Amino acid sequence: MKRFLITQTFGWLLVAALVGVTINGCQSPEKTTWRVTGTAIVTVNGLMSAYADACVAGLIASNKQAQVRDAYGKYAAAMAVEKAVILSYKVNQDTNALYQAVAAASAASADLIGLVQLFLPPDRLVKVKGGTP
Amino acid sequence: MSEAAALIILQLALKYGPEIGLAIATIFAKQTFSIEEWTALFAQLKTYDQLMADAVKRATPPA
Repeated sequence: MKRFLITQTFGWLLVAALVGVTINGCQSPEKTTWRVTGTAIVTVNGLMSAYADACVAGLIASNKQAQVRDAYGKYAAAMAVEKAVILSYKVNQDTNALYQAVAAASAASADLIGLVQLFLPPDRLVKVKGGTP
Repeated sequence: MSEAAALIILQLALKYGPEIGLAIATIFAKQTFSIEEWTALFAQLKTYDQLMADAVKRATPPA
């Protein structure tokens, strides 16, 4: 009985601690990176898919396509660097390098998103974002 | 969002006991990710040419 009570009490204390962590939003650098990177990848994939459909439909001029290709190349390169830094972080725990890589990748994805939003016809953009034109 | 998640954990813990609450709280509180998880995340990145090829496939009616 005593052992049961100790186990229960310990269990509740752990739940309380973890609930506290969840409420406070205390996040490790890895978790922050995971959220930022995952959001960027999903957003860019959705937008680029709509953009590629618009290209195939002949709605994007070739000079604009060249600009997007260039921006996408920079985004992909920044993501490749971020991936390498994350894998290194697992060993060296260099938070500064991690945040620098995340910031660079975020900036590259923001540039790309801004450019695609500028070139994508409004009706196609609405389909990605949702809502009414 | 995090407060909502904490409330759900607390409700489940109250209903089903600390073990279940703990198991769920652990998932919410996950702070690190394995190399395999990171690799899977970055594997979602496509090349520009892949994106274009996918769009061509979508635009091509099935035979």
